[in-house]
Amino acid sequence: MSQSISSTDITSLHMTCDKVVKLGIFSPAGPTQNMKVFIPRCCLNADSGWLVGWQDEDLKIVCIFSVLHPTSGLKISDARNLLQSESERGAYKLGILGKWVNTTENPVQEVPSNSVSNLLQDCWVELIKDDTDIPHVDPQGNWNNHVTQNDPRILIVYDQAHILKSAFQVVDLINTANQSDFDVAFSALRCHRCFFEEQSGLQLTHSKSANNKRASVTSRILAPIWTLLCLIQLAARTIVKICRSSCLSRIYQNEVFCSVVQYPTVGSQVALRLGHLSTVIRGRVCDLALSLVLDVLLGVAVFLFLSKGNYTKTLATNLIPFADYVASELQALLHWLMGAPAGLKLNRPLDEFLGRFFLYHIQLWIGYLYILRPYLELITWCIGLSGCLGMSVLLALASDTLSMLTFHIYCFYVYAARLYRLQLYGLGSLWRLFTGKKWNPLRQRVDSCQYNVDQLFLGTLLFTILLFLLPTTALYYVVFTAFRMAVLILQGVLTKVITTISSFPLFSVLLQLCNGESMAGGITFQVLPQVEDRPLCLSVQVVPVTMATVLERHSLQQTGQEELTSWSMLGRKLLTGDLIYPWGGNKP
Amino acid sequence: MPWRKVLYEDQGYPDNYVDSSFLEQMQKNLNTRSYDYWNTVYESGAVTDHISATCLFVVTFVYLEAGVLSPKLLILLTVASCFLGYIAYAACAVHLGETVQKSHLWIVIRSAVVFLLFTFSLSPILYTLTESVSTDTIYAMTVFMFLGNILVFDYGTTAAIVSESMSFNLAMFGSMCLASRLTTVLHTFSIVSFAVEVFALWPELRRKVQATHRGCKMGVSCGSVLASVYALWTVSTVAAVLLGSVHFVVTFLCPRWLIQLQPYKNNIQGPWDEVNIVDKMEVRKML
Repeated sequence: MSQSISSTDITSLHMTCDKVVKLGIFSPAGPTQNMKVFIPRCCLNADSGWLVGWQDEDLKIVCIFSVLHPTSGLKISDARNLLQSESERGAYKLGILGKWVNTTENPVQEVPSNSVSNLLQDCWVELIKDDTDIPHVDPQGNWNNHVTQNDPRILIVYDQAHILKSAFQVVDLINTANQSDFDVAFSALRCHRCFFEEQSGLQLTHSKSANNKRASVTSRILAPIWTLLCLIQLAARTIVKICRSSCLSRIYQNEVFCSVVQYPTVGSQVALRLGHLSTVIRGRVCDLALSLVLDVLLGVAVFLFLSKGNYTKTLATNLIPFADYVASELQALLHWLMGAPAGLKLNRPLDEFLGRFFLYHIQLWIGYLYILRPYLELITWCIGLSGCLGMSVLLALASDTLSMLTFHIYCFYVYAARLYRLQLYGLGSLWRLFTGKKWNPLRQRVDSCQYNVDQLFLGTLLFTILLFLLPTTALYYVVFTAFRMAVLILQGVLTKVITTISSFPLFSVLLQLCNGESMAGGITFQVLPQVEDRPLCLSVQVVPVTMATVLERHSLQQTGQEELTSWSMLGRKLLTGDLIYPWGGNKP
Repeated sequence: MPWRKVLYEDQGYPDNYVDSSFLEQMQKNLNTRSYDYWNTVYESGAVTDHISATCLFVVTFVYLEAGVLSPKLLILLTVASCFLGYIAYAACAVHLGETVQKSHLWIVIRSAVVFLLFTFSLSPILYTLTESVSTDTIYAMTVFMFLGNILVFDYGTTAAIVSESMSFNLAMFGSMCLASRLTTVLHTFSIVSFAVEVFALWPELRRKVQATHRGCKMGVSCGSVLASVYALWTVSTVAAVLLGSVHFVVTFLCPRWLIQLQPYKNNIQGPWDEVNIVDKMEVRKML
């Protein structure tokens, strides 16, 4: 398989994982006024020969791909074969665009006007290079119908290798409807990618020619990864085919089932990974595939580590006394609250009532733990086993187990929060009654109101009672909210790790490290120092992309983070006793 | 060019220019009234009435807490005075020419039942409500509540500060603070019922009686002043003297002060005032 890996494959790989970036430029003074000649940087010092490339007379673009050198055995048929092999790409037809004369070479070679010159088209240019940096551009033939002598010409020197490697689109920011000239030229270049691979025995100068070839390290690193990914894709396809044919597919498509399964963290994580898997199967998306592979490898490693060191058993046996300890500590805390905690003056009857209520719940909880005791080892072993599905699934299962183990804290928090909220809302409404006002739901504002004496009396009575009972309720609320926050923070850390594993674009990062030029971060134009009588010379360089951009652009999970709670909203919810959900937002 | 009072034309004068016709339309002290001293003294009886009633209530609480007054006796007194008061109310209404309907009686009985039911059921919560709060805090809160009550009470005027419901609520809150200091359920129940009677029912009866006859008003005022001062005297001499002086000041000195301040009145009215929208009915009445 490694033989079939060629740089074509690698570049098409890059194409699929590198999202096509749009780079905007402002095209100078109207689209088709100046004649633009694109010449690769490597050809600027080449020996004399014929220019091979693509041109468009209407758009006044001459895009030079390479220089064909006149060797002794050069036959016109070879040249024709070279050009016509690409004839199926009808949009950008290759041709001999003109002559390249290098007067500085030693010995000076003449470009012979032999049969190959007969392939010259009606419009052709002659580029003469002498001592200065910028060659002389001389349009000949029918170019004089399209351009006048006084029209300024622009010579654009481009980095051929970089542009071939990366895929981006140059968008004209002024006339967005038209395709930018640069885009046309670069599309033509990319269209004839295969032109640069051919070893047809002709002497050509371009970025991939013999005198320009560099040892490609990247194909060596990325080839085995690519092999692995193809294998995985094959395996996944077969598995999915088996699954689809069974009746599992019907259940999988049922909507209610889907929404129920997504509720625990592990369910949603498995669903996410299954989605990733199906995307991988459908198309060659390398980031996802590599991420899945890494996930599974890590998970299997953790599982083996846990089972080899017999850690599941020790974990299970340590968990039980820990849970008992937590329960007894909670009981001690409640007894302390029922007294005068920290010297606070609480309402004794209410205090005792609430304390006894929560104590009863702790008794229930201890009973529940007792029932769970024999199965705990099996449960921890199963969690370890789930590592085979991926490290993220293992962590998700651990997060779910944590939720199950701290269920009583969640219950206490909900009771205390609801009671506090009720009391607060009651107080607010009764305060409005106290000052003789009422909430007007029609106009959504507070209006004055004439109350009866009974209403006033009852309102004030309830207001007094609620007001004096507030400190006690508030204290219980604060205590249990603190516990709940601690558990939520722990779960949050786990979720953050899971999200990082799920969304890290490993392949793109590796690509950026090994083969930075294949990812385009932008293009820069540099104006070469002007020489009189020569055209304006611009140098186009592709700027490699930064790591931060790679991480952000290629992250696997595009933020489907619905309204995360901001700090101010969190504070407000805490103060008014609204329930805080671990996934943020307002919906339960 | 003479200056004209128009905004749409640039007349070349600076923006803050005023000419001789400035403030021509201003009217001063349009709605003043002249006060008669003895009339004002007579009318100030309303305030002294209310202050005396509040003090009587406080004295009752003091006796109840001290154990001198038994809660059962207080409940009996409350109920009895309720009946008597209702009869007096009905008599005054008849005297004034208003008819007393049977449905009104049912409404009254229903309200009474609601009061008693809720008070009795919430008393157990009430009497342990402020156990952990210090006495001084409670007494301070009560004082402020009663002062607020006296401040915003509806004495028959239409001022912005007057709020019927707020005054009653403040009084109730204060009395509940006091009630939470007591020791048994029955004590709490008795004091709360007495509070409702003093702050809700007694002002109604007072208004009806005073509307009947001019002499009645003076009689009721004098009676309540004497009763409150005497009651307070049995508890504390200093307080009684203080109350007496407060009554004196409110009745005699404050009217004098009000009349002395009249010349300093300086209300200006003009076309810049907000329009007073007059009801069609009121216009017909005026015409």
